[in-house]
Amino acid sequence: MKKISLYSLLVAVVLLGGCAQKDVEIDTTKEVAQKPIPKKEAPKKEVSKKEVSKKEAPKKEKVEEITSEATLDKIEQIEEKEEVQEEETTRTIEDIQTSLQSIYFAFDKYHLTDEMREITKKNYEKLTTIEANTKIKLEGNCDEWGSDEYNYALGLRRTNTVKQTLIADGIASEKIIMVSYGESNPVCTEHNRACWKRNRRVDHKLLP
Amino acid sequence: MTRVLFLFIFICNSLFAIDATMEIVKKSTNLPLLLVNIATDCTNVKYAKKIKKTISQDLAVSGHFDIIDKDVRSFYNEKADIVKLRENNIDLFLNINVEESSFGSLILYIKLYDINSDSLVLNKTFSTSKKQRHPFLSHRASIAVNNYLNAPPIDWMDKFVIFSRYKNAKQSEIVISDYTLTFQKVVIKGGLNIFPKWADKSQESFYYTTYNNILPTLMRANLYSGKQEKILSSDGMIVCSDVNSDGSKILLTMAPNSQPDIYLYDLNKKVKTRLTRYKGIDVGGSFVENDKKVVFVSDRLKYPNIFAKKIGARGIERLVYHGRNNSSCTTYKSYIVYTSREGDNEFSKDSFNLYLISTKSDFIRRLTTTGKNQFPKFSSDGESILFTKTYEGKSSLGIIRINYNKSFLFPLKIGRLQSIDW
Repeated sequence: MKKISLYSLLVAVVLLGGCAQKDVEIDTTKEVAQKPIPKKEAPKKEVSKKEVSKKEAPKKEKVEEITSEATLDKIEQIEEKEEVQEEETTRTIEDIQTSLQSIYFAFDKYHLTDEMREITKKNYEKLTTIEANTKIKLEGNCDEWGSDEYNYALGLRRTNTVKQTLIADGIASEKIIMVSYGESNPVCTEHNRACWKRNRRVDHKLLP
Repeated sequence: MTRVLFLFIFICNSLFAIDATMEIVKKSTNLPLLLVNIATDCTNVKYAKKIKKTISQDLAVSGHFDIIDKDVRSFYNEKADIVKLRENNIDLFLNINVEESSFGSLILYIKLYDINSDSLVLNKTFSTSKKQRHPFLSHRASIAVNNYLNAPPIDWMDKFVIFSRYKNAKQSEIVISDYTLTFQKVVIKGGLNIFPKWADKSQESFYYTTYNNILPTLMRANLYSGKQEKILSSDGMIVCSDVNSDGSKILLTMAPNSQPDIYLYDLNKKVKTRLTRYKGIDVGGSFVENDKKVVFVSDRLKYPNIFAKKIGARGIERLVYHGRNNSSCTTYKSYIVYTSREGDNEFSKDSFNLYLISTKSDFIRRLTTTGKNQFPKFSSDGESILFTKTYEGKSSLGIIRINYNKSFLFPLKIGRLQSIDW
């Protein structure tokens, strides 16, 4: 009888124990189930995670933020610096090019007058400040009196006169390229003496 | 004795010149009178009017006809009123009919009546797939009428003219057209593209200089395939000024050493040979005497003039003893047509005129009188000269019919002519 009672007690204990566990589980579930179901679980979880992480490792988060900001700041600073440098380089070439004066010629002529020789000297001084890899493109131009090959050759002879003068002054010949545009590139399109005079010229273009 | 002989030759030449002039006068009085008429039952009067205008123009340019501008009532499939036409002293009556298909093609029917023989002598049909090509229909009809008379050929009318026109600073385009500039098609555009030159007699390809690279570059373009091929580049300038008879060699003006000179370029071997070495300007070479000699422009006398040189030889021959500024030329057999600037400064009026000379005599003839006349180009038969004329700021394409003492101008509506070839 005692044995039966003991076994019954053990079974009851086991059963009760199992029921207790089940009840806990169920209860937990029940508790969660009993709580109002949030419409958006994920944010709530994130919030809770953030809260937890802030609580657990606040220092680490701060350091990371500082490091990334600093990196970005540095990158941006470098970029800004490069941009400034590029702008400065471009500006320098543009400034020099703007300061270079065109060389003008008499009607049907390709030699330099004393006045134009002085201007080529000034141009030479400015051209000594350009970087080594910058090319100087000399563009020969003529007035509208002629459209044949001879006119293009005349523009080329004018260009070559300026080229030879610059070489004599000290510019390396390999830095200079020449193109004759004949009468195709007028700066003035009126049909008068002043206009034609402005079109008989050699322009300087700098190619970085 | 030498003086007597020289005098004799001079007199003979003078007589020849006078005879030639007299012959022209004689010809002009005997030209057949031709009437171009739109058939009364013509279905497309709009294009018939355009075609009639072009045919009348063509036949007038040919110098072989006198054209009467008149309309008569005549149905296309009925015989022309010979009696009435004879009363008006008309020798030839050309009745035309034009039809347009639903696909946009144009068909031209022509009937030519010889009034004096009271007969229909020509009955032909011409067609084109696109209406805007109607000038070529007209030219082909004109050639047929001209051939009926066995007159000197005018086949050049059916060929393309290629030209470059300036649009703005450093902007030009290359255009193909008929010789009247009525039909035009832009074939190269964007940037500066100049000095077009036909690469072959079939007019399939052409050379041109483009400035769209760092250095001026000579290109060859094929009209049919659209293929473009780079030939050469040069510092300063590069121009193809002539192509030899079989298209295997070209004459270039280029300046690889900063010096504009004439080069012979062998397209098969891809080898260039420098032909001139003067330390000034040598440009505009053209082949003569079976491609064995080159005529070119040089400023070796301190002003531009026309010279010749045998390929492979050293000597230079001066060809023109007139004018102080002769900057371009074209040659046909012993004849040279050159541009001469009349004034010494930029204020001269009528500054560039064309002159015709013969290398075998003292014969010289002024061909133009007003404006800037440049880029003379002989036709393949030597009977006509194509040139550009700029007068009061406007460009025209001009044609001189040498043997007929006539010249015609066809204005360019857009832009300014840079150079031409045909």
